[in-house]
Formats: sequence, structure tokens, C-alpha cells
Amino acid sequence: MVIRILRQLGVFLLTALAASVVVFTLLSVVPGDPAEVALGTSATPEALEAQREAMGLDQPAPARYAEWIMGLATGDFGVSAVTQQPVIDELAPRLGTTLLLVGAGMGVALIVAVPLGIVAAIRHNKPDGAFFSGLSQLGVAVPAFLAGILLITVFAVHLRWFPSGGWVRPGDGLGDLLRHLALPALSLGLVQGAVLARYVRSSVLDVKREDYLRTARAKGLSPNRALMKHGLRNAAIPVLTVSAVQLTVVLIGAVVIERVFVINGLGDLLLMKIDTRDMQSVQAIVMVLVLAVLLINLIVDILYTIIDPRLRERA
Amino acid sequence: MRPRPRALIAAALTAVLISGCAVGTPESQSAEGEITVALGASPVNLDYTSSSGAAIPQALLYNVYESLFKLDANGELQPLLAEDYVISEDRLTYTMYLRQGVTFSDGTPMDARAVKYSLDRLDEWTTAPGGLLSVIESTAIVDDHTVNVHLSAPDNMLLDNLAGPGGTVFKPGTEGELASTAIGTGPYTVESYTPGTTLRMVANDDYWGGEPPAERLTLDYYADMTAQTNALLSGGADVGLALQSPELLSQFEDDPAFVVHEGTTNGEMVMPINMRREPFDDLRVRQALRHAVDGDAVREVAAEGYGAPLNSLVPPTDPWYDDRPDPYPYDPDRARELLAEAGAEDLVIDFKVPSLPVYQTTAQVVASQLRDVGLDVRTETLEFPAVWLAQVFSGHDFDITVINVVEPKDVVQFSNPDFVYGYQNPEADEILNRARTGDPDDYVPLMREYANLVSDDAAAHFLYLTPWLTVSRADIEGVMPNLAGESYDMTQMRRTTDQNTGQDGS
Repeated sequence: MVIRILRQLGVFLLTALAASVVVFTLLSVVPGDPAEVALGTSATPEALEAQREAMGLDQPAPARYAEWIMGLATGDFGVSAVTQQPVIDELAPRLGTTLLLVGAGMGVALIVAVPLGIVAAIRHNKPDGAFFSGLSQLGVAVPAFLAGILLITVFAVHLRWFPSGGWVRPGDGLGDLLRHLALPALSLGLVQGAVLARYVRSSVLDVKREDYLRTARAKGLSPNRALMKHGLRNAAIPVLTVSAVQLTVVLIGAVVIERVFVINGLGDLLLMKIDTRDMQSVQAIVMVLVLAVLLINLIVDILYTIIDPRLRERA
Repeated sequence: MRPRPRALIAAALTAVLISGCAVGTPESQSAEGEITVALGASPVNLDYTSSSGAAIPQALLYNVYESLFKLDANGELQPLLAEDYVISEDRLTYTMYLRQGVTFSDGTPMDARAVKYSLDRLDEWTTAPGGLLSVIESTAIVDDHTVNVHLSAPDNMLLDNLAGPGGTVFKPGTEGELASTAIGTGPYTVESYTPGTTLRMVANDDYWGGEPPAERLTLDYYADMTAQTNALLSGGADVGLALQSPELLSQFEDDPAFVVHEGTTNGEMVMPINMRREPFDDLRVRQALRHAVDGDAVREVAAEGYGAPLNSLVPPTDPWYDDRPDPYPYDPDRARELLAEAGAEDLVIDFKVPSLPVYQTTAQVVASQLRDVGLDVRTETLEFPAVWLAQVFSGHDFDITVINVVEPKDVVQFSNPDFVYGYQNPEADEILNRARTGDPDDYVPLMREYANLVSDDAAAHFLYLTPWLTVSRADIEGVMPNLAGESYDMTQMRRTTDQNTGQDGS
């Protein structure tokens, strides 16, 4: 098991390194010159030259990459050439906001998906089961930002139950924070919950057909008890895989949702930094998102070995 | 399933496309003695010597930093850190007499040494104000409060330029820290700036001009216009500046809790015509474009009828403004005739449009009017500012574009052939040169002649003067209605009662 985890760690590091090359390369070919953006319509060729030098853009790309990656390895994200502030100072508080949003969104997704999926599976040939199944089908079709706009229209503009946007830091009042968190978390969570519910349903349907469940029922357990006792743990493995993918989708969805709800998170910062071509910051944010996704996968891989003893033996 | 970084970036870029507008978040509720101002575009940092963007001097100049002179709300030159000046006979030496007893907010005295330091550093600026003052050859300290400024040639624009960011007096030795700290002599000091979000200023209690009228000014930046107006409506802001969407104004106009100020800026919405390309080097084609597009119709759609008509790159607040009739009034028939004369009826026009909403609406009207005279207009939206700057501004790869030019006295930009217009006319250059270096009495008439000649040459279409729309809560006074220079002067802003009328909310 230790070897398996070490191997996964190695894969994690190699993937992260490969991702850093991709991120750096892609961002260097994005049109638009950071020095030009910094100087705007007042730029003269001499001033541009001086600005490029000041921003370190006169260095060749491999040198810039090497400097960046060496910094990253020591946890140093560098200094933004645009704001001339350490990148980490702008990034860290916003990362907290985004993680809170993602956590809440994923929480909503799970709360929606697990009961909905199980009910839809147990009653899959009955009208109400079909209804829940159809409901999740509808949810799959709605993108998170549209859900956000619809929720704002109904609950903020018409009913005035929740604010239409904005954010409160956790220190400034929990109740207020929850009010601001409700709609964005719902917009992220409902859609993903609907997607996830379909996996829960099919996964539960699959285990219902397994021999061991028939054996359990032959021992005298009712179908539902047999499912609860022996089926759900097995059904959880594919659901866990999908949840990990979903978590990354929620993370990316948060980037858009932050715009819709005027939330000062990482996504909002990313879009602002793209506008000003603050490449040190953009690289750092994208890399943090990449690392988060890789980390989620690493954790899920490790969780498999815990949930499924068979994987432990194979390793 | 394995994570796919490329899919991630694609998703992030999709997010950029989906969200048409940027946002910032309100953080503050006004406390007593505090005035919260909601603005649009935010400063990228605090250093206007190396970063462009009108937002930086708008927030800092006169409020935190002070320059030698000042342009008041009517565009008139007033003394600020220079109390008086004497110009030598040959007009090459300006002796500046500095205000005494002025200190920087950290207690360092503001003296001749600081002025010399600041003016000598102008050639290190990478932004425009440094270049505007390149005529300054050297400076010399006469005594603690007197400085001689020597010019390489007489310049009638010198004092105006010294009233802008270029005339700022910085604390000696601060050049490496300007992006994140701002130590000035003004009535407010910067307490903190979270880029893109909130700029907090506190009163400078030792201000030479007496105690500032507010204890704190909090500037909240909203790239999303609905969020900006919502902040006003919900009490999250006391003043909303430079409202970008005039259509949102109506909800304030009938509400006694608010005052709506309609002011002017020196931002001109222009349609540059790329004279480097055929057939736009033909005056008749450019004239046709002027006749074909109705600036008032554009203004009606893009600015809800606010703002003012223009027929040259001179706002009414400039001394050389001329209210002569438009040489090329809206006349589609004449446009068709001119195009026929020039043999350009089947012209295909490459119209590059910056991605901001105001340019999109402006471009729709412009394109439809150009199509009405039979032109084949192909519009292409470019991400603003980065891609637009690269392709249009530096790359000159366009036939026409639209852009709001906001620098004061920006008509002189036509003298730079590398500028977006690509305008070259030796006769115009000669007039401008005489205006700047000749007899001061001829300065204003010659500048007027220059601006009119540029307009007669149809170097661009001058669509409209952009409005400066401000909404303030009724208990706030001292709100400047206009943006005459590069600074937005908040030094008179005060609350009339101690009562905070804003309610909770967000």
C-alpha cells in the first residue's frame, strides 16, 4: 500500500511539472504584451523597451520559466510585474474564499445527489423514480452560471430573500456570510448534484444486480436493508470517482459563479489579472487550480485503497 | 479520469467570454466621518509614473499627491505647491516660488530639493506625462523654496502639464516604492490598497491647507455597473462616480435621497481612421465616413443622450474650444457622392472594436450607418485592452476603430505619426509648433487653428464628448461635477450631518 501511495505521489509531481510547462507555454502565446497594457495609449517605443526590461520580459522564455519553477518549488510565487506586490499576498485571501464556495457547492451537490440517486434507483421502474430521474436530467442541462442568474432573478430581485451578490468575510458575521453564500452555493451545487445523482442511480442499480445482494436477500434481509448494508459501500466507489471529477468541475465553475455573484475569489482575481496581462499572477492562479485538481485526484486514489480492500491486495 | 490542464485553461478562458464584465466587491459600509465612493475601472497599482490607466491619477492626484499647479473644475489653472512663478525674458527659465510649511505625510518637508528630485526624474517615467514635459532640460535649486526650471525651447503648455501628474512633487528617494505606497503632500494619505477592490484613504491631519473635510475616504471599485448602482441603492456607497451605464441613472433621478450630477470630462469618443491604408489616405473617403456617421445618434444609443456633440478633439473646457458648425455634418447622400467620386463605393471596411460594452454599442450604430451608405463593414471584437493595443494601437492593423481618448489636451497626439491615427500634415505640425513655442498671446488661437485643421482633414470622426455622471447621497456636499483634468478632486467632499443615512445591506 505504501508503494502504491508513493507511486501516486510520483505521478502527482510529474503531472504537476508537465502542467507547469503547459501553463507557461500557453500563457506566453496569449496575444497582448504586458508592457503594452501597462503603458496603454501613452506608449512610445522607448518607453515600451524600458517597461519590458523592468518587467523582466526581455529575458528569454526558458530563463523566465526556470526562474518561475525554481520559485514555485520553494513556495515562492514571485512578485507581480504589474502591481509590484508579492503574488501570494493577493492570492491567499482569495483562495480561502473560493475554497469555502467550492466546499459549500460540493456539500449541496452531495446532499442533493445521494438521496435523489438512491430513490431514483430503488424506484427506477415506478413513476416517482422516473420523475426524480427526469429531474436530474433537467439539472444536467443547466449550466451553473445560468442557474445563478435564475436564482438571482427569483430569490434576490423578486423575493428579496438573499443578496444578489457580494461577500462577507467569515470573521464579519456568520449569518451574513451564509446569506451571501446561499445562492452561489446552490447554483454550483444543484447542477453538479443533478449530474452526480445520475451516477448514484446507475451505480446503485448496478449493485442491485450483483450476486452478493441476492445472497444477502436469501439470508432473509429485505431488499432495501440488503442494499443499505452491503450495496452502498460498493456503489460508493464509482460515485467517489465521479465526485472527484465533479469537485474539479465545481472549482472551475466557481470561477464563473464568482463573476455572477460579485465574489472576491480566485476566479474573479484570475479574470482581472488576465485583463491586465499580469502573467506572474495568472500563472500562479492557474497553477494553484491545477495543483488543487491533481491533489483531489491523489486523495481520491488513496481513498480507493481504503474503501476497497481488493485494491490494497493487488498493490 | 485524469485531470486535463488544457481543459482547465479552456474553461477559464470560456469564463472570460461568458462574463462580459468584470467585478469588484464592496467591502465597506460607511461609518461616521467616512465617505464611501463607488467607482468603475480600478488602478492596477499606485504608480502613475510607470503604469497607465486614468484610474491612478484620478484617485491620487490632488487627493494624495499634489502637483505644482492645479486645474480646477472649470479647467482653469490655479497655484498649488508653487505659489507663484516668474518667466524669464527668453521664456526658457521658469522660477517657481514654492509654498512654505508644507510637509509630506510622513513629516519630511516639501522643499526645492523634492521639486528638483521630482522634475529630474521625469525622463524615467514610462507613461505619457513624462514625455509631455521632455522640454524641461534641467532644474536648479535657488534656495529652500525656490527652483529654476530651464527649458530647451519655450513651451506654452508647460504650466498646464505641470498641473497634471507630471507636476507631482514626490518625496525624494521613493522611486522604488511608488507602486504600493503613496507619500504625498495632499489632504489624504493612502492607508491600504487591495488591487481591483478597495483603496482606503485617511485624512492627513497635518495638511497645510487645514483639516480635511472627511476622516476617511473609501474608494470601492466595481467593474460591474449594476453592482455599482446597487451599492448606492443599498447604502453601501455615498457617491457613485463615472457611472458607465446612463440607463441606470433614471432610478436615482426621482429619488430625493440622491443628487444626480451631469458633468463633462475631457474624454472624447473618437473613430480613428487609419490613414496609412488605402483608400483612407484619400481625403474624400474620410470625409464620406464623417458625413455617413451621425455622432448624435451614436451618443443617443451609447450614452443615453448624455454628454455633448463634438466636431474636433477639443472639449468645451479647453480654452481653444471652437463652437463652429461641424465641417462634415451628418449627410448620407453627400457621403455616397464622395465615395463615388473616390471610386470607393464597394469598400470593405475592417472595423476593430474593443470588447468593452460602451464600444460595442457605439460600434453597432457606427457600423449600421456605414452600411446605410453602401459600405461593407466587417466588425471584429478585440479583447480590451491587451489585444486591441497590440493589433490596433501598436500593430496599426485596422481600417477604423473606436476609442475614448481621455488625456487632457490630447489633440497634440495628432502630431505623432506613430499614434493610432497615422496623421501626417507638415502644415499642421508647423501650426502646432508655433502654438507651443511662439508668442504666448498666439497660443490659444493657434491651438484652435490646429484642432480645426485636423478635423477638416478628417483624420478621425469625433463622435461625442463622454459624460461624467455622478450620483451622490443628498447629505454629501462638495462633489465635483466635472472631470476637467486627470485628477478627480475629492478634497471638498464632506458629509453635512454626522448622521449616517446609509442603511445596512449590500
